[in-house]
Amino acid sequence: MMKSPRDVFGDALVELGAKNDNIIVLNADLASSTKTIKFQKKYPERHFNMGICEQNMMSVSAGLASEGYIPIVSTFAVFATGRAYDQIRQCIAYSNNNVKIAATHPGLAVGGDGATHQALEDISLMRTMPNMTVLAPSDEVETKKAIEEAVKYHGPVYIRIGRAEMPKLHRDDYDFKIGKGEILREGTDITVVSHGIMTYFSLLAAEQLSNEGISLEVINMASIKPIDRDLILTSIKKTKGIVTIEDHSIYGGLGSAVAEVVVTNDPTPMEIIGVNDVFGESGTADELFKNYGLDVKSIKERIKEFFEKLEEE
Amino acid sequence: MDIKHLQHKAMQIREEVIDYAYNLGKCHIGGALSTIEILTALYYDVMKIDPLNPKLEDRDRFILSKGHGTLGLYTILADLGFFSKDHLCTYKKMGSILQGHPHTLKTPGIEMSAGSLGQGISFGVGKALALKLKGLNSRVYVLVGDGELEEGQNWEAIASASHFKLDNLCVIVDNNGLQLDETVVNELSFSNLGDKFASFGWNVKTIDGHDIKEIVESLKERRDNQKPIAIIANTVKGKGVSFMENEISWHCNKMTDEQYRIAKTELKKFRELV
Repeated sequence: MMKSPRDVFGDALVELGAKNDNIIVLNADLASSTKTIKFQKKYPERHFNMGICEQNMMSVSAGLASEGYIPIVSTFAVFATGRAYDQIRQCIAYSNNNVKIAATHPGLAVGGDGATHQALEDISLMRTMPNMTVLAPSDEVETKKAIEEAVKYHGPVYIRIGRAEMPKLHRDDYDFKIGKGEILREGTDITVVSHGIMTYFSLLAAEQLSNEGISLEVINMASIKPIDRDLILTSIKKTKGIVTIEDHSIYGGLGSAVAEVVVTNDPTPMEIIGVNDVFGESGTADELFKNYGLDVKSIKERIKEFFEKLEEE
Repeated sequence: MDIKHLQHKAMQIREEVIDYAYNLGKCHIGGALSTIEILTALYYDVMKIDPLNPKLEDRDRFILSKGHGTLGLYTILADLGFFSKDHLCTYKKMGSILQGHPHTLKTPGIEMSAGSLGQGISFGVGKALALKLKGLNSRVYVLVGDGELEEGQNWEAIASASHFKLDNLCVIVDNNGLQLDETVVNELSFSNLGDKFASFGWNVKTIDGHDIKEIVESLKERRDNQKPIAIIANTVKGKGVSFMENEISWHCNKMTDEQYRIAKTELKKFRELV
């Protein structure tokens, strides 16, 4: 069954709210879009709709955190990281305030609303901020676990929550840990690292390429910062090259994070697949993925070309 | 504490600020001098605080939103014993607990990291909401600069404080009329600050920001109408030193030996008058 991780997010908040009285949820006029409305209905005294004031919301959440509460702040990824960057930097990260930024609607998957609403730089912006942990879970199970882990962890966390529907890739008892990635499919030719919906696409590409005799090792890297350095380095020991795939700019996201690990430890041929330093546009998610080279077919072809080039060398 | 004593305390702090500023060299001095009476009233009379337990649960919270004016605050925190006065000579220096702009993780008694302007009222709204949730009667005081109010985020925060009926929040505007480049009026004409706060649903009072008696009385005044409080404190940037008063160049500047001597002489006379 296909499900949007965003829908699970709302339910996960309600569950967490029942277990922990210190959790407070804030949103900026998007409770019904980000699904925090479920928490609002259950715990109205611990939910604040701040109005269309993202900057104020981030600093207010830091004030709440400084008093021992655990604010979970939710808005679209583009507004969270872009509109309120300086507030996150000074009030949250610099002061190590225990705020969880749960950002929905990332990447081209947003679709018809167009470039203004498609965050393609959010991971890049959050990853370079000291004290900030950056998570980009894939399916519904991992999204729920990532939020639970973020709440257990003391410190600022940015969680990128997908909107596009995808099937469950994990069993319900899956154990997510900050700083850990996981091998979803073992392989020997090319290591593929991805997050969010692209993990699902990578698995589909791996299945198709196995029929063509190319073996992909598919790593799901929901913890982008800290990144699972050991898992990457172990995998590239047995494969010939590494490819990252993400619904994000090719600059500053998972691709850069993995490249930093590879280049400084074990230089290996690498390919970074993402959105090529351009803004998105309106369209369905499927149309956009196809046009920007992020559908399963395009991914598959890019990996195949990369593999064949390595074989020739 | 009696008013006379508070006035003397403010003068002592002002003289120390001049000493530390001279010791450091170039620093934000004008906007520190304009806040001295406000800070003295808060820290030596109005607020419940415990220097030995800066995180005392039912303390009153003070937020310096205009982070560049931190020298006055640092001097007071040291005077009260939040940390040793020895640190004041290290202000802005490598390895110091006293950063150029206040950092909550480095300095005991600093509630919020500030420096990038316009975030303090929002942070104060967060604290005020938290205090209400905890059922504490403590209050949150935020000191902002008038120039700083040009930042749009303030007005989001001012609207939200009123919306959430935060009568435990008090914003004091250090209304000294000057900013870094220009007078506030010339740079972004910002008239009738009090009316602006009032139109957002705040209780507003305009006072002389160097009259300790008036400051203390206005800070202690309570109105039972569930509104946050704005105190527009009319101040003089560079207050107490003739060549600094109302001079834009003293926003951030360095005293010569001769200027330091003049400043000290003037402040000494000023203290004797008090």
